[in-house]
Amino acid sequence: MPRFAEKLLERLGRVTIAEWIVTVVIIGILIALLLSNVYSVGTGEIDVAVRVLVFDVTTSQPIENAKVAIVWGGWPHSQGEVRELAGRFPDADFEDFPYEETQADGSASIAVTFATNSSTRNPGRADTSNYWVVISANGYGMMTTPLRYERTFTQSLLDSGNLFVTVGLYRASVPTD
Amino acid sequence: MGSLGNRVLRRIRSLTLIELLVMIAIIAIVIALVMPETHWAGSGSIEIPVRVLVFDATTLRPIENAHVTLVWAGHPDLNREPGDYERHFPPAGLDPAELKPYGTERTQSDGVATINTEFSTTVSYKNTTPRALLSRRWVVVSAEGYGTFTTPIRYESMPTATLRSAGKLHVSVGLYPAASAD
Repeated sequence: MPRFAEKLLERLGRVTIAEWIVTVVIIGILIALLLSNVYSVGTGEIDVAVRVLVFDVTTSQPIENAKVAIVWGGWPHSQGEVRELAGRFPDADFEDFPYEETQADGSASIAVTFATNSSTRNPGRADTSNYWVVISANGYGMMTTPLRYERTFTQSLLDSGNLFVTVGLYRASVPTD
Repeated sequence: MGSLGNRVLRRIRSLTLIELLVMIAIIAIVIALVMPETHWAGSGSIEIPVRVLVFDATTLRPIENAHVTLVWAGHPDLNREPGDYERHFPPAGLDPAELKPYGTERTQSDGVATINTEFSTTVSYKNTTPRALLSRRWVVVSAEGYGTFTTPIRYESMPTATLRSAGKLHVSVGLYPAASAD
């Protein structure tokens, strides 16, 4: 055995219990610090019922038979980014776009599968920020708005069981001046 | 001091350090269990510009001169009974002509209207991260040749730090020409 190793063993043999404990604690802290930098990422998907409520603002009554569609797109911050949404939105007849019609209570439910991801530093989130809700009702008009502006915690979706969207429509243009 | 007091003092003096420490720990645990749960909450506000982008969903071009109004209304929770629904969204409750709105602006040539708005913030012992309460603020958008619509600017609260870091709150609304849905 090399001399160095012999000396080391001799020194280790003289270590007191207190020194052993301190050594073990220091090694434990170092391992914990190293492990905290480990970055793991997981992906998946979650099926969520998006419930859209459409109501008449002036009467406070639900609107029945309004057409509702969820389309995938980006979330534009600027007009330049809006142009990248070409072809994403349906035309007035929803041609080639699946849609649902609202019931008597003004709600329509659409099943959407959202991509999810999570990591050791961030809890799981669903990518709800890249979808738009398109709503059209006879006598009111047609509009679209982002489903959400941020990604949504997956656990929150699991707890609530759905993701809701509310849009109020005016039968006639309301002057604001 | 009475005989009982003297006996207690003598007993305490005879305790070892370990026994004293264990006693203090037990007393601390009992106090922590007996004391009522502390409830605390704080509130404040944050002013932030709400930047509303209005565009034509058929041409993807900005809509200039659209009316954009921010109003306060009920929480946009769908899971309510119809009765509750009317209570939270009373008839004409979102009519910007009848409400004292937080602000009204017209969109510029880039389709954007910016309204500075103050949001309440809250923090509590359960949620120690300050959050801005955004979900009761609705945007009403109206444009000549299009319809008039309203939708919540957000459905959940947002950490104040995130909002302050972003510097503004984006909202986007795409409108179809009025004849589209008729």
